[in-house]
Amino acid sequence: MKIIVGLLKPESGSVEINGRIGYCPQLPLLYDKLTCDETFGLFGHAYNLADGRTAERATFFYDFLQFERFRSELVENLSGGTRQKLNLAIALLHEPQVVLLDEPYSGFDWDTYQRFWQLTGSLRESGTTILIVSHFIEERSHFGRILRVRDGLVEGEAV
Amino acid sequence: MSAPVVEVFGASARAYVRQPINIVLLIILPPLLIIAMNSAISTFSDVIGGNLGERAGTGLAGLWAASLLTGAAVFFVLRTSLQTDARLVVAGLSELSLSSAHAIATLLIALITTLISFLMLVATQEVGDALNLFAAILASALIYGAIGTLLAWFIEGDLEVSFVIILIFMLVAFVGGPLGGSTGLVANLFPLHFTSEIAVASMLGDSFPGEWFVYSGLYLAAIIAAYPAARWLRGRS
Repeated sequence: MKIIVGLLKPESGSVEINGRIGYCPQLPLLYDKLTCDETFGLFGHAYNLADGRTAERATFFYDFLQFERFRSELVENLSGGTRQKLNLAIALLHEPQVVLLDEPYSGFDWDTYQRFWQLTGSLRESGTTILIVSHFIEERSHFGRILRVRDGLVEGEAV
Repeated sequence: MSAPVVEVFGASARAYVRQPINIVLLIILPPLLIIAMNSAISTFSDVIGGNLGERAGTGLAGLWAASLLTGAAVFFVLRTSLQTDARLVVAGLSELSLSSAHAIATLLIALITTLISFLMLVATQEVGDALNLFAAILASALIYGAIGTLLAWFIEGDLEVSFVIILIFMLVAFVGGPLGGSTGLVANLFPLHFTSEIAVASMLGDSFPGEWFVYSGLYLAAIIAAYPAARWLRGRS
């Protein structure tokens, strides 16, 4: 995933990107000293979203993932689960066409875990491609395809 | 400044202000070095082979305070933001905007630390050439800020970098600067050598060769020129 989004340079080969990509890293890559609102604002600018659109999307994620009361809290003061909610929301802020999620539900409580699948389900229905890396595949019905990767190579398709 | 530059600069500024240690250092370090250690620096200079008087030694202390503060602050601000910076670039922010924002933040931090040290020197000492003293301190702070940026790309741990910054400082202060009376090629290779000499001359109101500022500028340019290599190496890891 890091190679696809450009965080790591490939030893060989190339990646061609057409369209908007959303990337949710395994460890939340966020500025500890910014609040949730400030984080949305900063990434909204990076995604080239209008301020109003950023605020709309932020409000949606605050409501849907239920962390509105932390909007003025510094990231460093958030719990692991809430930080992960913000991490996910940032990846989806600009309505990407392809979403790369690396262990996205670690730290989520059961309710948020359910909401996560609800959210990805609606994204799939709207035509978004979602790639999830996980060591933990509990509910296979959520996945279109499951590929097993070992030592960096695709070993085969799981059934 | 474009909106993304303002946003990233704002994030850096908030990170700096919201890190209490930065404010504590800003309040403690200049008085500690300038007021509390002024005569001690002069005595120490005699011990290690230099012959700095109290006024010149104090000027040097002001330069060290601004440089150390800037180097450490820039390192910590950048160190904590590097990975998230990369995510911002993935999100679409241009590298140029990001670099510009960090450069402006570094310049601002250097200006603040320089101003504090300079005002403290002017308030406590007789300064011979205030304008060149200010310029020398600012140049040193910028050089150390550039070193802090470079270290941020190579060193992961806060403790490790603290040792490295102190080590560089000790070499700069004891081997490469006027404190120990060092001259010649080896001393000239240290990044703060010429700015230190300018600060000492400016405190005393002595004249100095104008090329010393050019050499100091070349140090700064050389450190900045190493950035692409550092970033490339980081991108491979």
